[in-house]
Amino acid sequence: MTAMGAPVDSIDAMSSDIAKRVDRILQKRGAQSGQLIHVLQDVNDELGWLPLESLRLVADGLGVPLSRVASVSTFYKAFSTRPRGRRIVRVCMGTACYVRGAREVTEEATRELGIQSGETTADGEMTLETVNCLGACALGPVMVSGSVVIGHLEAGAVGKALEELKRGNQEGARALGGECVEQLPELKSPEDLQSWRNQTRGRASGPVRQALVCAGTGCRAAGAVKVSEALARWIEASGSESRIGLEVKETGCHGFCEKGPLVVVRPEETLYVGVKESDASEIVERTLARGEPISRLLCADASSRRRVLRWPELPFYAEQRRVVLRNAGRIDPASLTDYVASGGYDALSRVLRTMSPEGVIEEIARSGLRGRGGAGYPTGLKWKRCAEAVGGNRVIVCNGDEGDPGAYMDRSLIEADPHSVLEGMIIGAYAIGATTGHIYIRHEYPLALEQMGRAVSEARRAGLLGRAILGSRMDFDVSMTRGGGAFVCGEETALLASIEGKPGRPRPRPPYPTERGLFDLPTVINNVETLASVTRILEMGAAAYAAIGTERSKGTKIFSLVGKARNTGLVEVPMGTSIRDLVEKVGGGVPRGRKLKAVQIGGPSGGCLPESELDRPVDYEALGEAGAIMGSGGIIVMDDRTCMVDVARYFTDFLEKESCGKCTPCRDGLRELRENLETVTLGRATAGGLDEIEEMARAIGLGSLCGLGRTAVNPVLSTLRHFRAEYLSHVEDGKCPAGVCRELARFRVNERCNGCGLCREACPVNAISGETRSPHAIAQESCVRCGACLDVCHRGGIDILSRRELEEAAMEVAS
Amino acid sequence: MIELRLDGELVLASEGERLLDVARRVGRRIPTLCDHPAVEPEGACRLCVVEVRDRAEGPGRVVPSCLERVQPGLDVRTVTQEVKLVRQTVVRLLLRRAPESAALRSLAEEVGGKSSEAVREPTEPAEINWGKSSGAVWASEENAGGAGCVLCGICTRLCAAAGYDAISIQGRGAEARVSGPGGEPPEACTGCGVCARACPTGHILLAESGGVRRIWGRRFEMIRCGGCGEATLPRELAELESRRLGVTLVELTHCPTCKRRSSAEKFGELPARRTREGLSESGPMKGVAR
Ligand SMILES: Cc1cc2nc3c(=O)[nH]c(=O)nc-3n(C[C@H](O)[C@H](O)[C@H](O)COP(=O)(O)O)c2cc1C
Ligand code: SF4
Ligand code: SF4
Ligand code: SF4
Ligand code: SF4
Ligand code: FES
Ligand code: FES
Ligand code: FES
Repeated sequence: MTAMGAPVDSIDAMSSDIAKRVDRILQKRGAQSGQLIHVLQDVNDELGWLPLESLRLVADGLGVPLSRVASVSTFYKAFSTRPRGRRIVRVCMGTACYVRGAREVTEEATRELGIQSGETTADGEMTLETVNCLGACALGPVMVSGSVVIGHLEAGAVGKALEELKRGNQEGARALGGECVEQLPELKSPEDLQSWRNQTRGRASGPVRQALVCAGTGCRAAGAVKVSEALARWIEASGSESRIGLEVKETGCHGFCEKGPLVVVRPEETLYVGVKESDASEIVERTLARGEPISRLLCADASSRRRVLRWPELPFYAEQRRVVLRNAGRIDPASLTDYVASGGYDALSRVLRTMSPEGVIEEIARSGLRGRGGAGYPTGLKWKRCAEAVGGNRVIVCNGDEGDPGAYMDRSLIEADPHSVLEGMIIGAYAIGATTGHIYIRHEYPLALEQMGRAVSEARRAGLLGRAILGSRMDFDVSMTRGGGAFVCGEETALLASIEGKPGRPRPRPPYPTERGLFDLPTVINNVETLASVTRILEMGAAAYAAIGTERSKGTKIFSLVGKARNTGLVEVPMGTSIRDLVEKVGGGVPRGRKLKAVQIGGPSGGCLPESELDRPVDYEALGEAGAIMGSGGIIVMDDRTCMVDVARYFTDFLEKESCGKCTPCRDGLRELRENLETVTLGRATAGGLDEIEEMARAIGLGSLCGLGRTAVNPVLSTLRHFRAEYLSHVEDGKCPAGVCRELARFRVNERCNGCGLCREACPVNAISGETRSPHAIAQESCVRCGACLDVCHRGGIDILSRRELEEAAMEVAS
Repeated sequence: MIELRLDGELVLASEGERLLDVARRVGRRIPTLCDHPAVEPEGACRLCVVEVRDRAEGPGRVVPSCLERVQPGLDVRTVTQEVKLVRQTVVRLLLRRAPESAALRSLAEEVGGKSSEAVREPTEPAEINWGKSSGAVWASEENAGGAGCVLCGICTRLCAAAGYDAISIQGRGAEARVSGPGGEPPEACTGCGVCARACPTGHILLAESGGVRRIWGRRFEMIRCGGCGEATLPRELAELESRRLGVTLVELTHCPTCKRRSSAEKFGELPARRTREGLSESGPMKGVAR
């Protein structure tokens, strides 16, 4: 980031400086109004923010009314209308991070820096921002600055982390290994592709042993790049004969980010977790050279604590069925060669050679594939409608906006296997007759943007995009758009507005995009995972794909399993797997001996299911019946330290902020709903308050324009349905049973305390006193009700009480 | 002709007609706020909702009648529990934004329910502090009128339809507000006043005295009518339009009365050429310089 760093002497000098910099960007981008968002992004990156003056220059340069430029630049979160500090520190307040204590982290950062979120320190050094999800959910709570990602951040460590950042410890910042341009053949026919594949396979069988280092966002944050460099160094340094046949390869995300950095050694498939730079020499000498496992680096099974040698035997993987994620963690996402060697683009080649567009649509319809972006609309039907729409050109759009905080399957898929998404998109384009495509990826995913960007340019160079693809009559090319940071832009009509350079406000449907979409052309919009599934379906055949799953939901689904589970990460399971199996078998259950309380499914507008509903299979209809949705597949596990009223308030607050503001019920209704939920968490609600909440929620759901408002009330309605008692406890007894709502919760040490002192150490404000081995006590006047003591105590030695209960207890003691 | 059912009655409608227009034609009262005859409907306020069923026994959908078009066999109900709930909620929410608005109060009366009591303290739009860390003044605000803005978007749509594009909705969600770019007085504003006259709540203040019109924090010198000497059009607007329409300034700035007398009809329909029917009625001349 080039910031407002260097002081500029006079306003004039600054203005002409801005003019020059903006001008350069305008020249690079070309003066077309469709470039508006791209130009604003570049200017924002260049200047650190968007001074009004720069907007004027952009408006003049592109011939767009200034009022529209102002409207666009105030809509997207990625644009700043105030100067920002030299370093921008962003704390994730996404769901996964929230349930693991992001609130405390944010509070701590606010306290440390002495500024609120959105403000800049007086010395212009740091700007503090909160963001909605960085796609590193398994590492939550997460804080980032530039390319430095700090995961598993505890409130206590925030001060230190900020110090490090101030000192400019940017080690993670290194680029993604210099751009090495590989010689790619030009593929003019299916035969070319086949012969290239045979060639590369011959080559690929070369190494005796391979170390696959995961270099996805999660593992990078944990230092994976250093590990892979060290491995390469040690191989280089080891004896010349052993060097032959050893290889290090960086792959994308395996889904097990929490345990990163991950290293897999092939062919044994030995999995090492939490690998450090200093482990590299030993891995090279023992495992790579001699095939010997290093027991300390193996992963312990979360429930049995047994160390497991090969990754497919870990319950986290064993319960999965990796169809779409087949290549994830096995191939180098930056290499088209690797993808082709693993069978990539074979499906496309066969489609072009042997199938008619109608045939492809029929095959997809037969597979039963339904959209993975949320609504579950049958993909074959969507394609058919677009193919049959009147109009010449057609467009296919890949929706990689993934705004759901706490979910990152699309990020991971693009990072690990971008070509499988691209291949599905080309197949889709063939089926509907599209000549142009757009890939929209949110700006919070820099690595995904980079991998997809490289995939597109490699595919283009190899003749898999462009004119006469693989010698067929098909012409198709794609362009990429970086999202501007607005959840609502994932909604298809808002997404289209955004690509067209307008504020991402949804428009009413019909007309559906399949009739009138991007620039009024018939358009298919598909989710990332949907497109990757298309590739697999054409590889394995519709019948084989449809054999997986349930009656109405076919195939597999990737879930992002986060929150209070032992194993968190991305998991792919057949449709129809029960939620309980997902949480308990794959996820290894709830840690620290706590009780599973609820599972939230479907992203911010999904619903919360209680323990008793968990035997439901994951299936679009079965989830809907219980008041949840499949959504994009976020699963957040909540334990008994989660307050369901607070959860409802959290999601409502999130959606209120993400409302585009166009229609009344969503824009103003969600605000009132959030205010009403707040009165519950503050213990100020009246008995009628819950009915009012329910009524307002129903009105918003019925009356809103787009899916955001219509589904925004699911968290409220589902918690009211399944956890009404907890609401009532807040309203009638002034008690928050989970000990989360600070106005209500009071903590007291009970007779189970054995004086271990853990709570005393954990308390951030030293409110706990007591001698070791004798009962401790909490000084109520200094307690800030953070609950840290409760979380560390093994013995259940701390009670959660209401204010009244605490007073009664105090009186009892007194008498 | 299309046959559909409206509150149980069979009615005929022409292809492409909006449910709102059909319902009004047969005498139903349907409250609206963001619908304006001169611009395309947006479906933003959600006051005009009705419930429709594609088949008599199918599930109902709550849709805005200002957008939804007729379909053969459609079963439309203009008053149901759901419709009432949405309308009452919407009016109540809007009243929080503009408690003083007479138009909203009478709508509240019309839809009934809890909506007529102002339940909460009014909502103040948040500041967007452009370029300053705190305490910035939202300049256009200076000139906003008494009542709050309900973000119906009529003003911005009209301004864009007239080809001026001076104001826009900025920000998002509940924090969005109508303003000149960056909260500054809009440079592109011509002072035509169309926005102020169409605003349902009277949020936009248009003041005129001593041959000067003030709107959105800007001041416009008014040209006087060559016939009677009354102030007619802001000079900026007159000059722009005279260039655009190829009409002389004098001709353009005759007041309606004098003009009617002198038979030139062009000028009363000034922006109507670029928009849909209806604008001429509330066109730039109406209500000015009383
Ligand atoms: C508020 C809102 C947010 C959405 N966000 C996303 C998203 O992030 N990614 C996505 O693929 N679909 C998202 N959708 C769904 C899209 O509108 C659309 O249905 C989907 O991209 C279609 O692709 P599919 O048929 O392959 O699922 C969202 C919908 C709504 C209403
Ligand atoms: S429901 Fe919300 S996000 Fe959707 S159009 Fe209305 S205000 Fe915008
Ligand atoms: S005593 Fe209060 S402040 Fe200290 S850890 Fe426990 S809840 Fe937090
Ligand atoms: S007075 Fe006319 S030009 Fe100015 S903002 Fe209003 S409609 Fe636009
Ligand atoms: S100023 Fe008036 S016309 Fe414009 S959006 Fe607000 S309420 Fe509607
Ligand atoms: S990274 Fe924080 S919720 Fe995803
Ligand atoms: S980033 Fe390495 S497992 Fe996800
Ligand atoms: S009048 Fe139909 S939504 Fe406003």
